Amino acid sequence: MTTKRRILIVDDEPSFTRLLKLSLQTTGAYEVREENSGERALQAAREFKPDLILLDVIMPGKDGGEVAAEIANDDSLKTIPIVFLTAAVSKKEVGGEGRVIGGRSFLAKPVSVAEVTRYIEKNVSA
Amino acid sequence: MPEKPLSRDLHRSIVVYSAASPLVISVTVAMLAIVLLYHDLAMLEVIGLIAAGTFGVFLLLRPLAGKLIVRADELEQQVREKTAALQAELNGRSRTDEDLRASEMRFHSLTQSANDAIITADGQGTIVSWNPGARRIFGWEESEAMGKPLTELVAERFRKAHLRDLERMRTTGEAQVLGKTLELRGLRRDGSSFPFEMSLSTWNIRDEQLTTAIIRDVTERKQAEKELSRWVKVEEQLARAHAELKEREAELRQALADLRESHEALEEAQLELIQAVKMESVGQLAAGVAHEVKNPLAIILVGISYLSHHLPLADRNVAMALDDIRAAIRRADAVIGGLLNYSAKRRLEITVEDLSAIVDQALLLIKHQPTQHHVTVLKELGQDLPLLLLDKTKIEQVFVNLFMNAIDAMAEGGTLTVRTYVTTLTRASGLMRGRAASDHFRIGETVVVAEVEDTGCGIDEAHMARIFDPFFTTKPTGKGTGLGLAVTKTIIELHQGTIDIRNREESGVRVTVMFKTDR
Repeated sequence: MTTKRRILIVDDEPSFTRLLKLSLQTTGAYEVREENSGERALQAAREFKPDLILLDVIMPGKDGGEVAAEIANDDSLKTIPIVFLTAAVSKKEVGGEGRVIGGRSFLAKPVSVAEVTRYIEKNVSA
Repeated sequence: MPEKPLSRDLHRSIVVYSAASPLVISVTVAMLAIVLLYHDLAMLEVIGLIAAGTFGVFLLLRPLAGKLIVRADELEQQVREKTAALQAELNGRSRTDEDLRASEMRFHSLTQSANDAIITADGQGTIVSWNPGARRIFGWEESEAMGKPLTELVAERFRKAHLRDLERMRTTGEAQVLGKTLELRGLRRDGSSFPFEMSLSTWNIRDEQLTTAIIRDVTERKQAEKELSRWVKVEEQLARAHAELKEREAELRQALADLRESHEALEEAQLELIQAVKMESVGQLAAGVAHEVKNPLAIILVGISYLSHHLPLADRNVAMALDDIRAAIRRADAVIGGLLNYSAKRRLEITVEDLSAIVDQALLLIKHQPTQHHVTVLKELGQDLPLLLLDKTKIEQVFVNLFMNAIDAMAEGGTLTVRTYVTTLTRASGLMRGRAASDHFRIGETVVVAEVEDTGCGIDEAHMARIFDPFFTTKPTGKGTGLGLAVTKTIIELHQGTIDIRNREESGVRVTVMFKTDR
């Protein structure tokens, strides 16, 4: 049995995280934890130890950039790949495969589940 | 009777006056003789005539001592002869008198009637004759003027000169002033001075040299001259002012033309400003809206994903519904995307690029579109164009937008022509039309130009002003966001280029994009 990949989703929109988690888990390949606040993200990562973090950029309170910085500073977490989900960049600019801008990976909202899984498969070793 | 020599014994002479008539003379003498006889003075001799005139005769008689007897008739004869001679002389004299009187009368009538002052002065410069004109001019009555020195009529300042002239005239016998007209200032009785002209003539009588001055009061004339010169000056001033006015008029006309030009420029600038403000506010709105809309969209999309796994996809209607929903999400996202593009931070990723290559790439991106719409593509891309500093992706986006617009305009098919070239701007090149061009570029500058032409329906002139407005679109609802050209223009301007869109004479539209080559 292949190990399910652990995915941490950090986004301030509960409907979004709920649905995405549902969709991902339905495939049977993923175990998903959702977190709706930037403040709790670091703790969640420490507890859950994900294989990949999907991180919304624009959030009230602590935003994605700050969370990413915290994770990078944490020795136990800094190896975990982070992909930003953002409404600030258009799909046209990012393309369906995601894009690296300034050294960071981006997926443009609205993401489809297919996009997410594709990205995970490409960037997370089994 | 023989004449006896008479001894002249003058100390015993007597003077006798008599009226001129010889009869009276003879009677008088006779009576005298009788008287003298009585006094033992027997004879009288008429020695001579002392004076004679119309008044009578003065005779010098001498009683003759001795026995000489002069007969009365002889005496009478003598007297008669003498009287005749006298009379003759008198007649002659009275003729001269008449001439003199006639000439005097002529002189008098002249001087009386003359407007000018006619003044005669004697050798000492004293006034001896004064006409009514002089009275009028100087104010002195004849009685007052006679005996005055001529110089008193001259204003003090000029007296010395005047005296000098007179002196010269007297001493040299002729004068520089003779016959000439002098201008002096005169002094009136009331003390006021005035300008006059004087001409002098001189004439001699016996040993005396008399001078006649004819003086004309030229106050009025001088004033008239002054007035005239004033009017001449005024006329000159007017002429000058007129010339100046003409100049000013030309200047004003020019200024008016300039003003009109700048007014037009101002109006254009105002329109652009309004547009910029619109764009600014839209930009700010866009960023907020984008974020707020994308999140729900994301939810919908993910939700659909999930649902699609739990719905009977075999049911065609279910499948169709899901497809429709996905399409709608994509459309909504496209709008948001466009909006974001529009408000994106104006950071460009600049690299050195060949415009022809970018245009070619853009054509590739839309490669299926032309054939779908039965559009022929004509490529005239310049080789070895000067390399430009461009954001490749954004410029590609620009041309994709322009190509799509062109194709959309040729619903019935047509030709899409794409051209790139390098050129130097001249006044005649037509590329300098449009304010944007004249603002960004100078004549003589080298530019890289891209042209996109279609043979479609063209743009309605009424819409021309608004084609770059955000959300302005002539496409039916759902077919276009109206953001394409607005974003395109922004991108080009960020590259300090210009975009010009106008209708072609033949049909359709030509879009001209220009970039500087030296940056």
